[in-house]
Amino acid sequence: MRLTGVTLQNFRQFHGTQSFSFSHSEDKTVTVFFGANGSGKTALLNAFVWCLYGESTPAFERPELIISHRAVNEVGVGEQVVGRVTVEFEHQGREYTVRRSIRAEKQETGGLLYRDPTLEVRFIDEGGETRTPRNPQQVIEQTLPERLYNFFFFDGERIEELAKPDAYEEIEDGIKSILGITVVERSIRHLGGEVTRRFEKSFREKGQANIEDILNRLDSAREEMTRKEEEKNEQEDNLHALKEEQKAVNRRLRNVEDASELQERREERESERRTVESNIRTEKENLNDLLSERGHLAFVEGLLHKIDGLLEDKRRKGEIPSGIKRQFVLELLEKGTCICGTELVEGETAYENMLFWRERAGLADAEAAWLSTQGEAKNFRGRREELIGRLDDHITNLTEFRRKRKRINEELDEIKEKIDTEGSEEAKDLEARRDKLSEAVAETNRVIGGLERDLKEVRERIGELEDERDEAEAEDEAARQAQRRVRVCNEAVRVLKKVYELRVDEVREALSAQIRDTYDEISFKPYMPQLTEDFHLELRAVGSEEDRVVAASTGENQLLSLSFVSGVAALARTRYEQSKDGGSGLGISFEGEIFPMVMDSPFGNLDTSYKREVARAIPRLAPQTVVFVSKSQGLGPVYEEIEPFVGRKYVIEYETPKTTAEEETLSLGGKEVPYIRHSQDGHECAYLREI
Amino acid sequence: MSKQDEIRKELEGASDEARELILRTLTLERRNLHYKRPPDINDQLEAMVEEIVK
Repeated sequence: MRLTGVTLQNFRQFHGTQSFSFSHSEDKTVTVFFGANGSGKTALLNAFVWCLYGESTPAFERPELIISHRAVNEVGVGEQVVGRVTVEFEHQGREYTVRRSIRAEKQETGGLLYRDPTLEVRFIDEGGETRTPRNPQQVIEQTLPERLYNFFFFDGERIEELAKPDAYEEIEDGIKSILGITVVERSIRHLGGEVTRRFEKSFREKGQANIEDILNRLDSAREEMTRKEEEKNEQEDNLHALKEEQKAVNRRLRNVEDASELQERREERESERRTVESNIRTEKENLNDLLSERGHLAFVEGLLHKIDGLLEDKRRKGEIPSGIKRQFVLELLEKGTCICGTELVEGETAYENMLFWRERAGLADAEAAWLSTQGEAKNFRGRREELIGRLDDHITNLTEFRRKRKRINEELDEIKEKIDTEGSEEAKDLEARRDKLSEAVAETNRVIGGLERDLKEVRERIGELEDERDEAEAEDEAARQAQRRVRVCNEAVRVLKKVYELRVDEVREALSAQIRDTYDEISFKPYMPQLTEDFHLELRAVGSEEDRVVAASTGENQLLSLSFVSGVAALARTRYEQSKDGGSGLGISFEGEIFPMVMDSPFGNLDTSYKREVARAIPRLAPQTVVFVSKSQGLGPVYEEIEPFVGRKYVIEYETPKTTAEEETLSLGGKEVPYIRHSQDGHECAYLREI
Repeated sequence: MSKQDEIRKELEGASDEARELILRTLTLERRNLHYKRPPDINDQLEAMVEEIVK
């Protein structure tokens, strides 16, 4: 998807018809819009979102007021006024025009009676003909699905939401969809579910009666699994709703005057507690790994002690060291002469002495074994001491983290106590609601845990029954055919599951590397982003032996989220290029896509040094980037960095009806253009001017 | 061995019928992915299996 142009008609403060287009040359990939606060930057971002999906971003106030206030004032009672956004883009070689319109009729009361919005999509096909699909929303879904738009059209000041735990599910879903894993998941579900069942049914009807029972039990087990999965999904939806309500209650508590500070402190402590709990988990895992790998060393001390005793005993008896080789003594006995010249005659003292040495020399092999055992014992002792040292370190860390968690919990209890006893009625009511929600969340989590255990058991049972079924023989040809189809389905599903696992690993590793590279470039902190097995986006400390999760600030979370979004866009582009080249060469490819990135205030809470680094990275974040900034956000170091990559630049000239407001201009590239000016007709308006 | 190579190895190790089924299923699923009301995928897959495994 490559954006080419947008036309606004009476959309919010953009009165009349106004158009702009985007830079998409190879080396000038950035289009930048300058606008004062409230001039319409967020409205421009929402022009895309509203046109494509009929939706708005969370920061867009009063989304129902689409039509320009000035345009409404220009029509009389009973007349109609229209608000419209047209977005033009290229996608997979086709040129698309998407137009969403809303009409309203002015009422005697001055209000508006809105009609339902209409959506129209046109594209020019490969033959050069213009087509108008009957289901326009579906065409947009095929280009960039609605559930994914917030990865590419986003409010920079809220982007850090992506790095928070609430977004993990959204991240996982997004990555899988964008990088083509969802199709593998769906293939496994359909082929391994209903399709296999249909052939099994056919097999059962035509095959031997003795597998009837197995297949009946398999059906029952699968029905049970479906029921449990549905129940689990329901509980997860419920959990999601509860968490949303928790967030709403927290927000309200932040706005209650006497609880605001306490609530903010509580949220900070809760964030710290999550970090500490993650550290506790890591420590426990490290401890478990150490114990399973080297735990046996803790129990070898008695054995080592016994070896020492035995060696000492041998030395005391003079059995080691022996000092003479058995072969040498045997040769002397055979020759009948000692090295000193004495004849060795059987029965005489010299001969008897030689026999004594033969016995001593016989212990040489044992001596070598004893010496080797001694060396090993020493080695074991060293490794045992190292183990005990490392165990001590982990236990000390665990104790410290647990102490820290206890302190945080005590502080959280104090905060709660304060709100409960000293807060206003509103704060107390909200706190009570918060408590109930926490209980409900805990209960729902418990129910989900139980369902997961049930599901594990039933899945194991299904596996066993499938094995039984596979062993059953069918006699007639129709049954054998059905059986062959079941087997091919099973084989395909088994391979697809393996492909799925490999693909998920590959994507996670590649994406982690992309995120790390971008983050490393724009942050000076000694942290490394990591996408965990569960698609959790974390920051970990690096540069010391201690590998731990760190609590990221809002600014760091913005950088992390920006790195993530850019990583997804980059990987999607790589996949797209690979799939054009034929994918794996076996006909299996995972389509990616080219996505633009449209950002409102991407420098949100960042300080100057970060702004410069992020600005430097922006041209490389996506193949096409659109940025909305204010003068204070975008001029100076930011513009210096992005200027070589800016293909088009616009200013939103804002006309204010407030006559006491100070007029302002924007100076850019030697030109000075109006930025804020007084309205001539008393209406608030915004006009787009290319600089 | 890269993950791509492992995927390739898995596919090469599958029987011809299973491999054909996998590739055609993925193509079908990809086509259906963005339909809000796609045709019944199970019917399409069933017909495909019958065609591949005669």
